[in-house]
Amino acid sequence: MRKFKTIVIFLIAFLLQGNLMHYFAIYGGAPNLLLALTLYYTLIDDYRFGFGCTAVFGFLQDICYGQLVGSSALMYLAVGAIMLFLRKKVYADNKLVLLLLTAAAVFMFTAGSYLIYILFMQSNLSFVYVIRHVPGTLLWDYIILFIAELIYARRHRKQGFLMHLS
Amino acid sequence: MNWMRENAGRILVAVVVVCMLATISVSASRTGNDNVNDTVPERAVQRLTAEAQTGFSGVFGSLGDFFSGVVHFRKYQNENEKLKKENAELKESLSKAQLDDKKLSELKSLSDSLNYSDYSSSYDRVSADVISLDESGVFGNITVGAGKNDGIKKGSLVINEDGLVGKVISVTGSTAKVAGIIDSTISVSFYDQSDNQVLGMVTGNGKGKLEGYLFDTDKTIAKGAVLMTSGLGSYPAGIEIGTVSDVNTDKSTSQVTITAEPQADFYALRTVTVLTSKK
Repeated sequence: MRKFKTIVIFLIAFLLQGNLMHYFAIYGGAPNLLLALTLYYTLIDDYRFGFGCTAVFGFLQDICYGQLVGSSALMYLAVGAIMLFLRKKVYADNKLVLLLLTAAAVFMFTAGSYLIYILFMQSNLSFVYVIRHVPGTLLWDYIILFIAELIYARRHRKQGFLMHLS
Repeated sequence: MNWMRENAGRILVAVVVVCMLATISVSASRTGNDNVNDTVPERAVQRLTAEAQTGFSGVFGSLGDFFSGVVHFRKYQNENEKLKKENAELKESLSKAQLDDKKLSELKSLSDSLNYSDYSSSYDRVSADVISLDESGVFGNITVGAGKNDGIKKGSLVINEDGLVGKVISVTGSTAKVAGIIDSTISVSFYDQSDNQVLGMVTGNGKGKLEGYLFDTDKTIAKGAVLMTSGLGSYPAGIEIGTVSDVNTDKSTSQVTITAEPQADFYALRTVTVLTSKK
């Protein structure tokens, strides 16, 4: 049931990403729902199936919206893996650490995607032009993760309470 | 064998990474080649998601407009003031233009007698809604809700009321993926609208603008000049590309280089027109 729910969440995020998210762009930076989900399933709710979904839906995103098939999928996978590694090294329940890790993840995703594009497309794309979209995306991803964390905490309090009763 | 079992997770990740790198390099080698079609899995995924995308676009389009209005309230207010001013100027120029109507009809009859045909008479037009934008917003890629069934092919040109938007890079039955002209892999030849002897080439500069040069080192171009497609290469003549924002001349080679703002606003695209070959 949990796997099914996760897939539905990813499917909705994937469809909303291309159709709705660009309306929310601040200084060119739109919310990146799949990246927010990657961070949620690695930093907040350690759920490997959700982490795996990011690569699959990243791949679909590349096919439907992108030019280089596989680039977003690879970056979601890389960012997710690094976050899983860092989660063990730092105290991720600390809100400040979570904010810093999210900022690092958005920066890594953008810089990595840029590098892949430059290397494979022999493009003259400017790094400054790409990186200026980061603050907008980061702000939105903070908001999404904040809401996701609230839901997660509420769900676990409820579960803890039910377990306590039983 | 034990080592493999112990490191199964790592091996799987390594295999996935290698597969993705291979996919990226194959994908990169096919980009820009109008004669290479999408692979069967790509077409299958695009077809599967096309219907859902179109449905979502219809449902969330108006919702998105509402939220966009809330998020960008100040921007739209300024834009509204600007448009009001522009409207007043246009009304004034319209009254002047009406005087030229007679001249225009004379020119039309002349072009008919000479059998001249511009791009508007050589192509069919397919209007399509923009159903999605690429997640980064960096490359100006869009997906439109019309495809092969409407006569769109890979390489078809996409325009809107402002001018040239880009060209189709992949197509399914009911959708088409479009690369914007700000993409650095696309080059367009142009002429200056005020002097059709001034020819050159522009390409995306990787900063959301166009950069290029003039073919003839003896010619020059003014800041604010409007660039039109020249008809050389795959783009038909007479479509607005952008406005020159900066001009530089290399002192040693006399090469004139320009920077131009694209006419189309890639973040505000809602509907576009795809030019298809006449049936």
